[in-house]
Amino acid sequence: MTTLREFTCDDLWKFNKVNLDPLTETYNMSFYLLYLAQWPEYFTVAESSSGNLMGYIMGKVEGTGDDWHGHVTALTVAPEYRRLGLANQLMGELEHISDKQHEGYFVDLFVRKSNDVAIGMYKGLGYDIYRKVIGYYSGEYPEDAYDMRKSLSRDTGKVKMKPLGRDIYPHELERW
Amino acid sequence: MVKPDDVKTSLDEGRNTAALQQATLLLKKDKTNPEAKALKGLALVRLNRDDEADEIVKELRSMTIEDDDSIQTVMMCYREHGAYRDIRNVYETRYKKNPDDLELAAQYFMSMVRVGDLDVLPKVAMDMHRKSKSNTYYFWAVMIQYIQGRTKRAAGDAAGGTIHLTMALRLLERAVDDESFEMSREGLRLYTMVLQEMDKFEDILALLDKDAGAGYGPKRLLPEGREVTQMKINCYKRLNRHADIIATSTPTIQDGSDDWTAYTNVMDAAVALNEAGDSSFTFAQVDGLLSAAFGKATTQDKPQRAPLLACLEWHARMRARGDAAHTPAVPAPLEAFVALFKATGAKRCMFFDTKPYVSLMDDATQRKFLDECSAWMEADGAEEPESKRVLRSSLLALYRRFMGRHHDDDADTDALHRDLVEKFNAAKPCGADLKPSELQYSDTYALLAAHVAVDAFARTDDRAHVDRAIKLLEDAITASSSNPQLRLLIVKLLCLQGRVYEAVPHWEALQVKQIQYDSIGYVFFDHAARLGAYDTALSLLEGAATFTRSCEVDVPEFLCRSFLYGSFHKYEEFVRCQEKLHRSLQLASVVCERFLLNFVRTKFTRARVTSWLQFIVSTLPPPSALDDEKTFSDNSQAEVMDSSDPQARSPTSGDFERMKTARFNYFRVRYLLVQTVASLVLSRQSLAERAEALVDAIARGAVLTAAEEACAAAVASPDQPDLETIHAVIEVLSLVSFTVSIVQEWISGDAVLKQPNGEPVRVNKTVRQTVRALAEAFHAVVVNKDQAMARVQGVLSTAEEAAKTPSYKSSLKAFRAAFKSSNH
Repeated sequence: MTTLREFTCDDLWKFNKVNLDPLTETYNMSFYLLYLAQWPEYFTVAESSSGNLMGYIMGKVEGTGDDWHGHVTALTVAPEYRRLGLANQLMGELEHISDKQHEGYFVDLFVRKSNDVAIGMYKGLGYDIYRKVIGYYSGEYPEDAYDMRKSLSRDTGKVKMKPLGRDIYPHELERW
Repeated sequence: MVKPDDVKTSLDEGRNTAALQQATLLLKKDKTNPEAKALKGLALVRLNRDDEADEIVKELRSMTIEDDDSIQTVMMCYREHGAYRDIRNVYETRYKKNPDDLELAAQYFMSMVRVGDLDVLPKVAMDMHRKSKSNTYYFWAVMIQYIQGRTKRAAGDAAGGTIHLTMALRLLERAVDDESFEMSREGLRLYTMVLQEMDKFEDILALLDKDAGAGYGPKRLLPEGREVTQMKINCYKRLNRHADIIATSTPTIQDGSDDWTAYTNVMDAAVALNEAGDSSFTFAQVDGLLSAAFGKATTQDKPQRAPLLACLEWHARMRARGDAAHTPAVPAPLEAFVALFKATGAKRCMFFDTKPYVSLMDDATQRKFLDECSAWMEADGAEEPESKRVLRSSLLALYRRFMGRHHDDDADTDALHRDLVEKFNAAKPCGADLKPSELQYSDTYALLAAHVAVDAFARTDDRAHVDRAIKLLEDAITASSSNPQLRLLIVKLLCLQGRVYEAVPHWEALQVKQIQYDSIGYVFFDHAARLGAYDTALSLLEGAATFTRSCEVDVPEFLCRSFLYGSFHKYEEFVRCQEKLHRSLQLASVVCERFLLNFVRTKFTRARVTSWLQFIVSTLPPPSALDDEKTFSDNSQAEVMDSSDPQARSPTSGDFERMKTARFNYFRVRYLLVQTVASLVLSRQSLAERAEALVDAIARGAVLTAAEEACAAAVASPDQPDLETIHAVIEVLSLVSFTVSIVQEWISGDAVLKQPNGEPVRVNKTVRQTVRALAEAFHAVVVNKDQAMARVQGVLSTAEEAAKTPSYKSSLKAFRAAFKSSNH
């Protein structure tokens, strides 16, 4: 009993049961408002029949030429609503928008190297590890990240998700 | 020698104190240097010293600034201080001098959007469109007409609104008729917004159809998907085309989808048809559709929740319609509940999903549900992994509490608590391999046992029960550190006991920040300062103040971004967001509390206090705003803590409203106190006399009135006061204590408030004695409630006697009248 809908400003006051999870970052207002203003179609919330926010996904579209792609900025599900396939639904929505509306070549995301559960889920959705970004995560728990990609229908040869074959450092990341 | 670039470097590197010193040095050389002033203003803003920054902005406003470097710095100062009207004025002057400068025109346009000055904008936008030939500016003009139309309609000017909307529609029609005009996705969405506002829903459907046939360009602008489907459904609803809604949603249900809107759309449509006397889709057909989806779901290994819950929703809707309504021929509530238990009973969501529907089962059926589920676990569920069995068992325990089994007259609370603790301990090992980021399977038992212990405290008034609950929760947290519900409950229980310092690490572990200051900050804000955790309270208040200031500066910027990115439908959402933050009760409280705490904790100069108070008085709504609770927006999320209490005992919307009113009343007292201090500090005449009168007023008026009411309720109660009542008393008395601490500062002469000759402010002796006794009584309440109650009552009696003297009566009467006029 999921209702997927566009995230609204009012949801910022209601998302605490999702965001009190220690691994979910609560950003400043500008960050959320930027996504709402620039990529509203990429900011989707899953709501239960009783009106509880179960999880949400934030993303954007960026890049140039055949690097034009959808990007997953944040994906989180409240503890009570995990293991129900909600993350799959939210990812499916973002992929659909990237594919049909923006005609991107692929979707990419970054995930902590130690987050086996998430990596397994993304692999199950068709994502592959494109490259490792050494020291991508800083702060209290510094760690490497995997840059994972999934080609969309426009990348017929699945060229954009073929592993790069080498690790990179954050300063080598593309500035879209 | 300091140069402006040095200050800028310090600011860039976050060395704001150094920047302030450098800017001050620059100004010593040239007091009229606008760039130096602006840099000082920037440093002050970044140091959260808004009141002093405000003074700088006022000075800059009166200066004539010509050179570009200075203008840019001044604009940055204006922006970071949120002085958007000043930015508008600068751009207006510059635009009028250079009307052909497209970039300047765009900046002028945006500066007007930020402050909501829209009247001249259609012309500015159309000028930009003509000069640039960019359709972007054309849509800006349409959007401004749309906003003006909506605004006028909302203000009751229907005719004026229609003129603007008609203008917007004509602009769009003209664009579509012009073959050379390239329609964009954003433009098409704007078109649907205008049509919707004019109730032209058939036109929206036609527009979507035309787009589906690539009628607006080489390819479709709005591809098939959730957005378009929802647009169509909305139109069908407004046009009463219920059959179309059913036709759109039925295949989704037949697929066994989890899309809840499909189910509710069909139910809504069937009810609407029924009420219109239309039998084209009967309730029996809804029954058939839902029963088929239910049957299909129960045969699947991993069924979706929606088909199972939809039956319960349909029962609930039919029951709400009354006796004469249709009796749904879908699986009965018991069958649906049991099916849900089998399918999702090992998921934590089932309880939250089904809470609204438990009342569909009578008491006997509820028992049957519990029995059937237990029996199923012993039979078919016996082979399940232990973790799943723990989750299922704890779910049934949750239902037992929610169904009132923990509160039966014959319930043995001690035995119940022991049983839950045993189950908690027994369940712990099966979560040994879980990661710290995952919730432990045993957590539900710990939470339930803690609630049962609090129940026992409420019944016996033995605080050992609460201590037991806290200890158990702390034990649970060692294995399940990421479970926010465990921490929220500990924070609440510790604060209720006045053990605020012990609550601090749990609160900090929740990492509440940014918008959460506004929504759930109350969980701890409401206690921290009142119970003496001043340092933690100040830290929280500083964080919240930084958040507030960043919102004031940043949110208006996104009104512009909605134009820049063509997300026109977000404009009004951002306006409402801005309004919600601006009217926030929590953030207004932060302004008051931050001042009051700093005032008593820090030795400021009189000039600093004066400047701060002037800023607060100009920022907060006038005292008359206190007459209406609706002036402020209570943005707290009361539902952040889970509740498994029976419906009869669960907080109702009325309870939440009362909590909000209580919070508003507390704010009102604090706000009055700030206003009182302000009038004391800002008054230029007979300070000593005013001080005495105002101290009398505070001590005898607002504070004692509140204290009297709370204490009277607690002391006069024939029963032992419950936890909530004690909490209320502690809160009110801590309010007294805190207020009194300020008064005492004045009395002792330690505070900055002294007479012009340096002597302490003179205060009536009886007031001094009363406030001191009350402060002592407060601390006694925290330490020993029973003894303290008697003391509080004694103090109040003494105060009542004192209040009969003529010197009290006049100030008391006026203050109480003002205070009581707003529901107190």
